[in-house]
Amino acid sequence: MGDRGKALVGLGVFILLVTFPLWGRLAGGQPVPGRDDLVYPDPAKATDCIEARDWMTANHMNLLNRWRDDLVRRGVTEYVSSSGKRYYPSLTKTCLDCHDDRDKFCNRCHDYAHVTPTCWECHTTPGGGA
Amino acid sequence: MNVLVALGAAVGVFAAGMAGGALGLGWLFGVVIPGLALLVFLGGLAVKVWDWVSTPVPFRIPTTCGQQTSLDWIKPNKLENPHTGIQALGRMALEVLCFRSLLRNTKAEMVQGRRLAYRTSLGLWLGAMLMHWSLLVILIRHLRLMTNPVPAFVSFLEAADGFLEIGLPAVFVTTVTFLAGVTYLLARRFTNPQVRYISLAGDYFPLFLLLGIGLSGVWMRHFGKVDIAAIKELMLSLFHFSPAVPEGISPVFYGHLFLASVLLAYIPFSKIAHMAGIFLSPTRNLANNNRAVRHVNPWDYPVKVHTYEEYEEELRDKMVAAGLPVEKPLEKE
Ligand code: HEC
Ligand code: HEC
Ligand code: HEC
Ligand code: HEM
Repeated sequence: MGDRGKALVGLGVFILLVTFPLWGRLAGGQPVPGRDDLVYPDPAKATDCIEARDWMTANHMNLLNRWRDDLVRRGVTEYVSSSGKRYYPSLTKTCLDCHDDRDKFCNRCHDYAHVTPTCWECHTTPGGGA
Repeated sequence: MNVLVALGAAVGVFAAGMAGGALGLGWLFGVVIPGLALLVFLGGLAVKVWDWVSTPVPFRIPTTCGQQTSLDWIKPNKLENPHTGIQALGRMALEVLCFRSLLRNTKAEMVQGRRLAYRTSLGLWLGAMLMHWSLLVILIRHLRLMTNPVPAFVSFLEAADGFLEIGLPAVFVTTVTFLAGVTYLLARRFTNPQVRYISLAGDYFPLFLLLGIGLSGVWMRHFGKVDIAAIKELMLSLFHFSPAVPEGISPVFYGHLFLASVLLAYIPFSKIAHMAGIFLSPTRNLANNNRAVRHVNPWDYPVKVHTYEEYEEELRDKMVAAGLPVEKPLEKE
């Protein structure tokens, strides 16, 4: 029955690998899934983002990409939002002016979704956040 | 016809997932179906494997194409004709990791009008390698959506895979190679008349599923944009056995997930079961040592025999009386 034993060991290993997310959390994962609460800008300062919130959640990286190309390559220094407001297309000067605590906003979400933008290797954060 | 059936089925699956997402059936398509699919996948494969290992192999039947180990002065081909378990393991590893047998794929052609010529054809090997290895990397990368904190090997793979840093979010190399591989494998079945002739709906269907999954994945990452954080919440809640379906997940995601669920549940009952079958193929996983080691047929049962000695013992007096020769003379009284 040696062969049968080997095949069953193989099957067992395969099942363990496939179910990694199930038992992987036992080895150090959080007991409850969830991310730390995001800290939004002070409502006295702003109540809305540049575009609608749901759109921003999903598309903010595309907006940044567009701003970058607009400013650096085409010299466009103004972004007009769909609600008609005007913004200077800058990561640090505009986004982080409202979202001034990057650790408690951008990073909390990115750590959870496991996104590691390389932007901060060059761009600064007001207040010198990580 | 086979193509249309398979294409229709795959498109139908995707449309059903999209519709489910749009109609707010997040529970069905995000929790119940993926959970069932995983159970069917693992259970189905386990049953298959149990069935295979329970089938006795009466004789060693490896397929070989090299010199067998025999006399000392004849050089054996250890890989093509493995003589020991380790050698068989080596051949197996090369097969599973490098698809070595696909390197033998040939193509028949008429040259100069009427001479048949065969030549090596490596397209299938390349396409299969691209597709399978990219698929593995993509699946490991997907763990970022299912674990918290994300293990280091996933981060490493993600960084290595996105090293081109093209676009935002960055395009992964394996996304491109995966789609290229699947597209080639499909195109091969369409354009090569011999292959097309033997292709059934069951050959096209998994390819269409993979293509659909890949395209919807690319759509979510680079074009349509979805709320990744919400999707991760859903997946984590599933793996913590406390399912909760967050609002606002794009229907495309449910299409992607339903396609993946159908593929998973389909695997044990289709040609894709080769992922387990390859390990249990007696033509591949056995050492060719029939001439060196005695293999007893497992379904041999003790046969009731009547030996010549017993026969003579029983009838010796009659044989002697009839003048027949006997081995042992009659005992004198
Ligand atoms: C005028 C101030 C302001 C600016 C400039 C601004 N935001 Fe916002 N942002 C907000 C506010 C306020 C909210 C919360 C909106 C709500 O709750 O409806 C928000 C929400 C968001 C969200 C959604 C968070 C969630 O919970 O899903 C993201 C993502 C975001 N901002 C990213 C950015 C990025 C990237 C930039 C620069 C391109 C930027 N914001 C510029 C004020 C701003
Ligand atoms: C290699 C360094 C580097 C990296 C990494 C980098 N940038 Fe930049 N970025 C620059 C430089 C240099 C400029 C030009 C600044 C100027 O002309 O004022 C710029 C300009 C920009 C601008 C317009 C001007 C401004 O003030 O913001 C945006 C938007 C931008 N980058 C977004 C990004 C984003 C998003 C990322 C991450 C995905 C990123 N950048 C990563 C170097 C970098
Ligand atoms: C609601 C959660 C959330 C918040 C808040 C958020 N992000 Fe993101 N961000 C994401 C997700 C998810 C992705 C990856 C999307 C994908 O992979 O399709 C992402 C991707 C990015 C990228 C592209 C990087 C890459 O490698 O893919 C940049 C740049 C970025 N975010 C900048 C910001 C900045 C700047 C802020 C704060 C002003 C911010 N984000 C706040 C969720 C968020
Ligand atoms: C056979 C299984 C699957 C295959 C082949 C597959 C393939 C892909 C591909 C090729 C992409 C494009 C981006 C990338 O390469 O990462 C993608 C993205 C994605 N997949 Fe899958 N997938 C599968 C299963 C799943 C499952 C089970 C989920 C459930 C969580 C899922 C969720 C996602 C999400 C959310 C994205 C978008 C990622 C982003 O925007 O960064 N996929 N998939």
